[in-house]
Amino acid sequence: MWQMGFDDATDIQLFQLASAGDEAAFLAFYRRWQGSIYRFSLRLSNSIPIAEDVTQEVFLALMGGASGFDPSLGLFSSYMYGIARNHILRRMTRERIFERIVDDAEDERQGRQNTRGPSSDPLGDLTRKEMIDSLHRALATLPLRYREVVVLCELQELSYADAARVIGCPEGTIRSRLHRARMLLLEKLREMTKEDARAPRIEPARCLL
Amino acid sequence: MNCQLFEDLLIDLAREGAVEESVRLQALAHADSCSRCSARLANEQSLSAVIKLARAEGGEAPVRIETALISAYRRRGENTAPEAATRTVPRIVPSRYWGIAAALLVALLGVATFRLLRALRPEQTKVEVSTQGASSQKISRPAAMEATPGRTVPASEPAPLTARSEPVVKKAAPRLPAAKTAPADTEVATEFFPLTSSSELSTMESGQLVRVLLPRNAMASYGLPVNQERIDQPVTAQVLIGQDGVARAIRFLSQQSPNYVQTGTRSKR
Repeated sequence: MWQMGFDDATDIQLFQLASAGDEAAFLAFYRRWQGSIYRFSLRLSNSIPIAEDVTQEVFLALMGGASGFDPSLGLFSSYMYGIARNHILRRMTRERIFERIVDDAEDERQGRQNTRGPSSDPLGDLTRKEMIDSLHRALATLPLRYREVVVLCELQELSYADAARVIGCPEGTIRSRLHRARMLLLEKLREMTKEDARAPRIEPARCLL
Repeated sequence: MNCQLFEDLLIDLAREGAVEESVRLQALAHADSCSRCSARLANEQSLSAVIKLARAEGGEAPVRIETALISAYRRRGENTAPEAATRTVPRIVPSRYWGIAAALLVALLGVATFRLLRALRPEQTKVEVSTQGASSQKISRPAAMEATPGRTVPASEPAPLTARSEPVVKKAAPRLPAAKTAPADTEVATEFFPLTSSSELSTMESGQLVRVLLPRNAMASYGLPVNQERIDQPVTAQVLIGQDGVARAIRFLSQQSPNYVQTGTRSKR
């Protein structure tokens, strides 16, 4: 379809076309990046409303021009994550939800959003979903400075250098924070495993007849 | 390779990051010989596996965001069509702040103008405070602190006066003709002099008149002439106290023919 022609275009090329009024280019650009920006916002804020608002704000900001983008300083994606991060921090500061954990209703909504088609391995899917949920819950309890490094470097797969540009700190800081963040994540996951183990189990009753 | 060096490389090893092959082999050899480092590597690798699953999980913004953005993009295109490629569209959020700032500025100017006009207006705002009976008296605020002549009120006027529950702020009524002379059994009073801002006086709903004795010099503070021969005698004054306990206005009384010039006095209706 029309979008096929943009597959090989770089982010900058798409953005320039979109800025010149090419709606198809804008749509292609949006569809290329909306998922990443949305997931980044969701994992950093632990809030679906904030993630949705921030995704919208990022692309609205880009519509207004990318005057702050300097190609010599990094990738366009880093620039977008930077915009998203600023919006998220502003929202979180305003709403004071730094340590909020995704509640059940949001979990359910997320689950619906991430639902894929029927699987041939439902038990494997369940185990996988439990593991991912545990990771998200553990991630949500991390302090923001560690959480954002995990989200950027691990979930969004940014390099240390690009993550450093997004956050605005030295690369070494990213490395050390990631090291610490992973240790904290392992501790949290271990605690969760212990709690799960302490939970009462339903034992199958043996038939005595 | 020792444990410290291994720890430094651990995350890159677990994430399968960029580590030189020779260094990687040395690190793995160390892990084989050190149970603690081996366990650390196993933990980090399992964490990386879970993170990899989470990364593949996906999750996208709702379709309505795309719809809203496309609408915004089209609106922007309509506004900037001839020069879309060169002109930067004004950002939405800052323009909203400018609007709010402009509205605040207009509101401030309005308030300032209103207060200025009120201060310059020659009319007098009257505050009517009723007595317990049917009679009432008008309390007027002079336009400026001048030796405004007094008016006559009966000597039997009860004090303090009780307040009416209904709103008592009224527009200035036409002045009555000034009394030529004050009867012997009447008190002569000056106009009320405001002690607070005019806006506070006009918004006052009720109040009490309290009779006090003040040093005669106090009259000078309000621009009234002071009889130096009676400087050691106190002067009677009535203070209008609002329902909040704040003194709002003052007037001076005299039992005798007043020592100050008596022009423009008016009798009680």
